[in-house]
Amino acid sequence: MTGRRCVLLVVIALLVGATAVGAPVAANEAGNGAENADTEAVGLEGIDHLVANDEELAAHVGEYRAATEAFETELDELNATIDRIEGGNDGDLGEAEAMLERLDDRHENMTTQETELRQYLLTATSEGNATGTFDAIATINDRQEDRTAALATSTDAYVTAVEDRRSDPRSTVRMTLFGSLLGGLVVGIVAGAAVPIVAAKRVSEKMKLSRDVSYDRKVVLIPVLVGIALALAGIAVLIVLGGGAELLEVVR
Amino acid sequence: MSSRWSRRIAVSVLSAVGIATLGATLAMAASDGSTISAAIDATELLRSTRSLSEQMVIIAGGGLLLGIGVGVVAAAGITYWLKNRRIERRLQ
Repeated sequence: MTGRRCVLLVVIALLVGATAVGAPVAANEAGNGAENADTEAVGLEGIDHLVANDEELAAHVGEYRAATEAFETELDELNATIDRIEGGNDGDLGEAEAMLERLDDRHENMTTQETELRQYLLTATSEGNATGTFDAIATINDRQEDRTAALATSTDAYVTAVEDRRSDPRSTVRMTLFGSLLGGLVVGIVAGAAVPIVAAKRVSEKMKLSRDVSYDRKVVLIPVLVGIALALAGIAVLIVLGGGAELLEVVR
Repeated sequence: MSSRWSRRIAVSVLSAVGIATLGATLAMAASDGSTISAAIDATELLRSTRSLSEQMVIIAGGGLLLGIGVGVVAAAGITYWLKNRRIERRLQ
């Protein structure tokens, strides 16, 4: 009887003790898990106590986290695109451009969320809830600096990779344009000089018979008019069909 | 009294932090935006260059016409001026 009672009492004591110690810990862990889901991911666990009691702050943190994830996804895609371009596969440049525009949008959204969250924390601090807010603002600032540095590194690497890929076609365009200009200039000089030279020879021969000769300006009128027409036609072709300003930017 | 001063100091510190943060944010936003813009510009330029490198006949034709035109005008004008001077000298 005494032995059974003792065993029963020990079992009850153990159960009560386990409940008293374990239940609050488990409840606390569960609560923190739910509440910290957003803050931990973005390094703001220091303001868990504020997030737990402030729905608006929780919403700001949630949006900040979502913006961070969206931005990082796009940055990963940019880095993958850099690897692909450096590997010699440009893929669809239109898609790369669309990805960069998405990155720009998400970067802007990220900046907005950072500003709003910081502003909210500053307001909360001025209202007396200062515990953890300064650290949280410092964390946001640090993460922003890291993000800026990562973005600058990736975009610089992307520009370098794209510039490298542009080198060959740019040489082709330059060679084609300047080669044809030079060739045309040589042909034009020979053709343009021929007419006044032939006319001058005729005048020289006539001068042997009479001094009443004239070397009329009309001899160059036709070549000059034809030359101007050809030059305008060339400019029109280069502007209308060759892209004009785009061509200048490419060969620059 | 002391708590009022503490509150004023806290508000001042907060204002300074806020202004510094806003300035840093604006500066970072401006620099980040420009790096993405530079990447977009570089992509557009690569596309343009690729596209133009496939239009070699048009570029060569335009360049040739422009070169011939400029060459003809310059050579005809200069040659006429030189020959005219020589002929006038002989006639004098």
